[in-house]
Amino acid sequence: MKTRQIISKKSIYLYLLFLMLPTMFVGNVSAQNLDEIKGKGVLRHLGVKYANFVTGSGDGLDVELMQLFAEYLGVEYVYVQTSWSDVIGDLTGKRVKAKGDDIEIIEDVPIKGDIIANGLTKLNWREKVIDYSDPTFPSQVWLIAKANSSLKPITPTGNIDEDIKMTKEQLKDQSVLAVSNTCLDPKLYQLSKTGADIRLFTGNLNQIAPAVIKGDASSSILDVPDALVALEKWAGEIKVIGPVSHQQVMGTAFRKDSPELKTEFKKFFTQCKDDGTYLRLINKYYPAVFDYFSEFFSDIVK
Amino acid sequence: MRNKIVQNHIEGIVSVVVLLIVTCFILYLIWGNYLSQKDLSESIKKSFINSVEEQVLKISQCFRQMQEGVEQLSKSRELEIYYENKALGMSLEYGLKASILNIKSRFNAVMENQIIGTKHVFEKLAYVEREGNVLIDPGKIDKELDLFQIASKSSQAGDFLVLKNQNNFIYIVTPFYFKNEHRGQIVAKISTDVIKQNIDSNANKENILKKQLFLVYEDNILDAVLDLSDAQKNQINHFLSKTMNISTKHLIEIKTKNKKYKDVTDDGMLAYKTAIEDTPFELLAIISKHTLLGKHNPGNLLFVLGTITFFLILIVLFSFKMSLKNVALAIKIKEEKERVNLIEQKVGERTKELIGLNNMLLEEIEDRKKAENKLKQAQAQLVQSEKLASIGQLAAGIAHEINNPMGFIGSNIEIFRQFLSNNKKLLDQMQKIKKAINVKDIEKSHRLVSEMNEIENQINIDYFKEELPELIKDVQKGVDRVNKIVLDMKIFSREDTGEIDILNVNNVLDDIIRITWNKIKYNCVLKKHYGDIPCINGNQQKLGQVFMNLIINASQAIENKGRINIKTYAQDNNICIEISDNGKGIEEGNLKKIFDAFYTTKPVGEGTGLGLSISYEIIKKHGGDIIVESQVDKGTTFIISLPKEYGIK
Ligand SMILES: Nc1ncnc2c1ncn2[C@@H]1O[C@H](COP(=O)(O)OP(=O)(O)OP(=O)(O)O)[C@@H](O)[C@H]1O
Ligand SMILES: [Mg+2]
Repeated sequence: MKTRQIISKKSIYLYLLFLMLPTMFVGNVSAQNLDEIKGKGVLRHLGVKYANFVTGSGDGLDVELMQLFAEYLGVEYVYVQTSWSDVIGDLTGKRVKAKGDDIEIIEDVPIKGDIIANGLTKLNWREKVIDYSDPTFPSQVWLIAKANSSLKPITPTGNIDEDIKMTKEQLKDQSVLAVSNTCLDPKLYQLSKTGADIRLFTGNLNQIAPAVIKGDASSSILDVPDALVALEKWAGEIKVIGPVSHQQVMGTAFRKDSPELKTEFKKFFTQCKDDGTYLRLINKYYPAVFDYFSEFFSDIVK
Repeated sequence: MRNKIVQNHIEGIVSVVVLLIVTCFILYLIWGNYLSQKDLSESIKKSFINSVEEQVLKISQCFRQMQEGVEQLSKSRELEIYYENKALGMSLEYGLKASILNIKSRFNAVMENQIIGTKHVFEKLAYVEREGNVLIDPGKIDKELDLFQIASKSSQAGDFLVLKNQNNFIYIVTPFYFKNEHRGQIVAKISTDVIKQNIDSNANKENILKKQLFLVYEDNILDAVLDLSDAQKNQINHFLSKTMNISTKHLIEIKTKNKKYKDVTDDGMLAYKTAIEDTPFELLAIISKHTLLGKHNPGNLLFVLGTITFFLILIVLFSFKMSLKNVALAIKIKEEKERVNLIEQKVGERTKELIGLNNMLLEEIEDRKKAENKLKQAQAQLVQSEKLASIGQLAAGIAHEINNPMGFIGSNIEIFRQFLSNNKKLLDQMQKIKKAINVKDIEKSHRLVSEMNEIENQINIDYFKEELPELIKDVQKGVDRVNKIVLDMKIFSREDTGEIDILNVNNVLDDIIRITWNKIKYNCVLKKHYGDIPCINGNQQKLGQVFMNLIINASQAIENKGRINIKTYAQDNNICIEISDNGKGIEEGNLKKIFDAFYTTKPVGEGTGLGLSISYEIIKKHGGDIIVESQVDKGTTFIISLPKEYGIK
């Protein structure tokens, strides 16, 4: 009678332990990042100076959004300056190199931030190392040129593929600026096939338009948010020739092992859309973008 | 005598002079008051004008601010960028749209930020390209404006535009130049509410006057300056039609007698119109004279002054004329008195004569009355004799009527006599049989009985037994008929009693038909169509006389054979009796005469010509009427109507 009782008790404990094991493990892993952030009381925002997302003067669409997110989480906001080449490594701890749609891990680096919010375009290779939030912003990549260049703005056909083809045809024997490891990576758009003289730009993305005006190259590819800013800033000095990509989307990026943070952001972002906060921010930094991508914003503009 | 008259005259003149002096003094006082009030009202008017001018300044400032706002836009960098990018050949999809959106947000910002008081200055801001396409149109301005027209019209910076049926909006149009070339127009829509608010807030500050201010454009009120109902607008427009002619910067008074506009214009209005600098608009201020000046109305005093003076002159003239007249009159009166005495004497004599004449006249009147009475008596006799004459006419017919029953009464009595003598034979025989039975002579009795049977056969006893009661009945009938005729005759020939009975006309007609029947039955078929008529009040005898006369007239009008129809019916408040015949009729010319007394077409002795005139009289006395319709050779219809409820008058 006694023996039987002891045995059964033991087996029950073991059984319970066995059952709890995976849940403890999973909870541990997923909660790790968010708990850590809450524990330290700091949200580290990884940003690259880029268009009106991160202006470099302490504000920008994504800067304000992250500040609000930190507030939402009840932690302090810290901005961590990085660059396009380092930004993914600084989040994941692994430096990678894009090879078309694929990646190559180069080395381990220290993790410097918890979230990338920087008008980061959703690209196939990036999705292999990081998690994206729901799209936060639309984009497209255009070809821009100096006002007096021989490149001629295309006449839109209404068919995006046709427009891209017409734009690319003009690149033959023209010099064009591009930026590796970003949404302006020449490989993403097969620029080499156009017969253009591709010049990789190493400076800040904000500097591309001035570089073109200065004559570093006769043209450059540029994403729409940046192009819109440039058109305003250097009106009459640059012109848009046409598109080189389909419409793209941008999002906020997380480490693949922090879904809890991603979920939390999703809640926060939905709230921002619903209460008009996001609308206000976009009106502030990109008033023109609504009409450009009215479909994208249809759920926040009522 | 003369002296007294002259003295009176002098007294009159002195009192007039005193009156004159007193009145002149009063006039002098009023005049002084008038002058001081005039000064006061002048200064009130001046301050009114000043207050309006002040408001005009504020309004023109307000307009300037608007113009400047639009002009600022015409220098905006965003528009330039758009044209620069366009010049580079950029397409709408790739780049150019952004420029437009930038312009739009700039325009929006201006719309948001330009505020006067609590109101946004610009209702809408649009940009229209020279080619006519609307580039920026946040408020969908193109629904109201022919923007193409505006765009093609090269305007001056800050031009104003007011549309005909868009009175409460003003548009400011400013051209945009890119590299010195006119490229398009900025159109700003301004609600006049903004200006109204400006006027209002200013007006409230100075609460001196409840003046009404209107923004006027090309002789039209822009109505949003005031909240006006349509009716008020009409009133104002009516009023404006009068004020529009006034030159600016003049305070004028406007009177209107039209009651319709009374509430706007009461007792006269003051209007002041002044141009708003640098705009095509004018400001019109209207204020009721009473509100502005209150009791200080020198005009009233002037009116009083004028009125008093006028009456004064009248009085002076009148009294002067009177005093002149008085002297002449006094002399005349004396002469007149003497003449009157003479006349009085003559009148006395005349009066005596007149009294004599009057007495004669009274006697004459008395005589006339007597004669009239005689005439009346004669008339009554005549009426009675007319009736008797009718009876004379009837006498033969009545004799026959009585003869007839008498005839069969006589023959029946003959039959009775025969029956009685036969009966006597049977009785005798029966007594013989009784005796024989008593002496028990049976043989004799048998013989006598068989004799009796023979007698019975002879005298046809069965026939008598059956017929006798019938014969007696017939006799009774005959007696009754005679009785009735006698009774009728009695009724008819009775002296007029003037009694009123409740009677049914149908019954009266029946009686009359019965007693006239013998006279008319030879040449007439008579048909009765009696309606269901109510009883009326009337004199049976007299109505009977009327009906009889009409029926006899009808039968007399029928020459060979004809028919008489008698119809009664009720109509409205009357009952009607129609007696018509198909006799020879009456010529139209004679229709008027037939009711005259003594008019007849019948030979002397047959007709007196009184029948219809008496009938007419009787029907009138019953409150009824009798009319005739006739056609020669076709026949005549007399229609009598009698009121249902009426006694003899
Ligand atoms: N039904 C009728 N048809 C044709 N004429 C008529 C008829 N009734 C009256 N008259 C004409 O009107 C005249 C006047 O009639 P009224 O009854 O007054 O007098 P009278 O019949 O001539 O004489 P009286 O009635 O006194 O015996 C008649 O003479 C006749 O000419
Ligand atoms: Mg007659």
